[in-house]
Amino acid sequence: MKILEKIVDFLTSLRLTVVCLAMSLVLVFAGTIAQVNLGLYLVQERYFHSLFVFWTPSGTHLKIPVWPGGYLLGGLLLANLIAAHVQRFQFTKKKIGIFMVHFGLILLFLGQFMTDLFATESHLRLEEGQTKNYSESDRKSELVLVDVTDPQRDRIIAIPESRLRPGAELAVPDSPLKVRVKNYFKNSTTDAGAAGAVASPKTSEGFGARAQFFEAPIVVDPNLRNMPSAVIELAGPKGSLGSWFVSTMLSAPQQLVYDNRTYQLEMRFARFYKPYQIQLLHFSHEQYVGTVVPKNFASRIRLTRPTTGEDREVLIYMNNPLRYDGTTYYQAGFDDKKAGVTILQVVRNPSWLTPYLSVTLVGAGLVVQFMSHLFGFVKRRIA
Amino acid sequence: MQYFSIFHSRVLRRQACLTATATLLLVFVTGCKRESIQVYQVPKEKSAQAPVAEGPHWNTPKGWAPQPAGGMRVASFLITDTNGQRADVAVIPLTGHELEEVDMVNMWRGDVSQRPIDANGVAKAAEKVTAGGASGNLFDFVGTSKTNAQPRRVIAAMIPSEGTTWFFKMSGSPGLIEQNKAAFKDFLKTFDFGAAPLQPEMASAPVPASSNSKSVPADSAAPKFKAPPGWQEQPPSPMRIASFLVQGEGGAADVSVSALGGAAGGFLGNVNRWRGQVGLGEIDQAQLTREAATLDVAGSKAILVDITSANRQTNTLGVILPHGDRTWFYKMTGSAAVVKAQKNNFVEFVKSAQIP
Repeated sequence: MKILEKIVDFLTSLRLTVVCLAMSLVLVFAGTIAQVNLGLYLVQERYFHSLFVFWTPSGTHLKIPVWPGGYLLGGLLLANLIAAHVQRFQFTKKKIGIFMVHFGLILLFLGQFMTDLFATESHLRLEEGQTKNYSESDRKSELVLVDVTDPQRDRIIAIPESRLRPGAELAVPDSPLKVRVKNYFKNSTTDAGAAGAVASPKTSEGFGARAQFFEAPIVVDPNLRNMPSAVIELAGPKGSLGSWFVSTMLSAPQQLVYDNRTYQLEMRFARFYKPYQIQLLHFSHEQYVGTVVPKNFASRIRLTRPTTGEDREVLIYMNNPLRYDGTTYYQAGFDDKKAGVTILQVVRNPSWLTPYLSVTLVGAGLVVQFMSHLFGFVKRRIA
Repeated sequence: MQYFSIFHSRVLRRQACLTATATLLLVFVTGCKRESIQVYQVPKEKSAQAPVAEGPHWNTPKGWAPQPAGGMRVASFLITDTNGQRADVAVIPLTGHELEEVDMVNMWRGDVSQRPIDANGVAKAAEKVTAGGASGNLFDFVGTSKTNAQPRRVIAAMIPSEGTTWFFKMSGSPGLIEQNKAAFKDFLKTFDFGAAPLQPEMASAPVPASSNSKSVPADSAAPKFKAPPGWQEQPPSPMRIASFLVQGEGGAADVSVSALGGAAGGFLGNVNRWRGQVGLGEIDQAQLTREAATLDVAGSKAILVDITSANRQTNTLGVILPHGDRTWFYKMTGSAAVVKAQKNNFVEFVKSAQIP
């Protein structure tokens, strides 16, 4: 029981709050500085969406935890807040404001965690007349093996980029096939002269057998995108079927036939399929006369959903997104190299309301707390 | 005033504390699980049936023995005959390189121990050919091998297509090359570069322009130039970042801007290359230091050289600018009268460039 008591004391102590807050300050500072070399997205992943910040001594593959990450500090602060409340809380009229502030904070923590877990951000690039039923991730990619044998439907097996570790052997579900990951490059190029380019091994099949590709250093500029690639080997029960170079650089899939079924193999930016279709009818891009300053962008789209019979036109323009089926489509950009191409930002965040609720609760709690003190003070003065 | 307390007993409170924390931990553990492989079905895309990526393909001429493609080669063949003559055929695609045709031609000439030639010489030596629907130039040079002084011949073609320059080269014993020249040309004609295998904006592709920005961003990686009046901008080519034609009394001059990664041969090597192109001999570092002027461009130090051919007809102005991780080359070459008249404009042009 003594150990339990110690755990409870630790979790409810104010020292834990102060230490966690101080460590968070250091984490935010270090994360901000690290953006210079790592860029926004890697810093988010390594510093804030992680339990620990790891350090790898140069020349080794060791991962030494050197500082608690955002998830650990946030989790501890949340546990501390809840535990302290349960341990010390007494519901009195005097403390109703404090209660609201704390509940608001708990909601903020949980909401942010939910956003990290469930929110997705992607984009939908449409040319005039084009119809799509999926949006694509800006950062994450996936290796897909698409069974295209059926004339009506494609069966897609999508392996997330995070599983493509060199040496990994992944069983393809409902199939005798296995994917062996030989190499994985976070960024790649076809330019032999690019700084830091390292030749990728030749493959036995597909495009990689005939052309030379190169691993390239990752880019951290938020305006640039890494082009991940991998060298994979497919194997059936009787052994290897060969090796392929797959890359987001290749704009078309590579085909193979195995056991009378036709598959297409492709590395692509991760797709989010929807049960409805969006077609771009017209994209207008107005600029102030005589300048290149944008005045207005608008996409007239047609939304169709076969299962409900829904078929309607919608105009999406700046500050007027389409909210549909839990997803929001913002007018985000255009293709500066090709006319009539719109780029919509697609955001799905089931917990989008929590920050609004929590901030309202915290604000209201502070007002209540302040007012109760003020009234008490005024009452005492009158008396 | 105390209304009520949720947990009267300390034990109850302690248990509640632990339960709340354990629940939180559980949420974390389930939340931090790794991403899984997903299997799903979708209707086939109707609007854009994705083409299947196919690499380059070709018809192999009779007597050519395919060799494993290695290094930068996408295709490689060996031709031999009973007399022990040998010839090698290579196909190499290069993307993103700024290569001057005259430099490539002089490299091939160097292969057969021939002196470098200038742009006019290159134009005279070129024979038009087509491969995979694109056209380019074919060159044929005979001489002796640099390594063993044996007779050697090189037939090479340089064909730009969709941002990639394809190099086809057949080199070896002159007799065997002669027998295979027609087959080499047929090989070019039937060569297919493949169905658009690469995305146009490939490695490190920029994210789309945002409509929230105050102005439409130009390609941030592209340098910006202010061309002097009278300079006619020429269509971009895979070799050049910018290209202009300047016409004046007594002829015309060609202006090119290109960039290469790293030191790209250094000051002396490149100046001597340019001297070779107008038929002059090499100079040493001391002479270069005396003859070259220095310029401040985009915060970096550049050198400017003024090279006049032996017959005083052709003049070359060259600027070499190491900047960041690349070396930039500005070159104006053509009629001596025009180049001399445009020298100030050229220097202003170089200084005006905004290089990222």
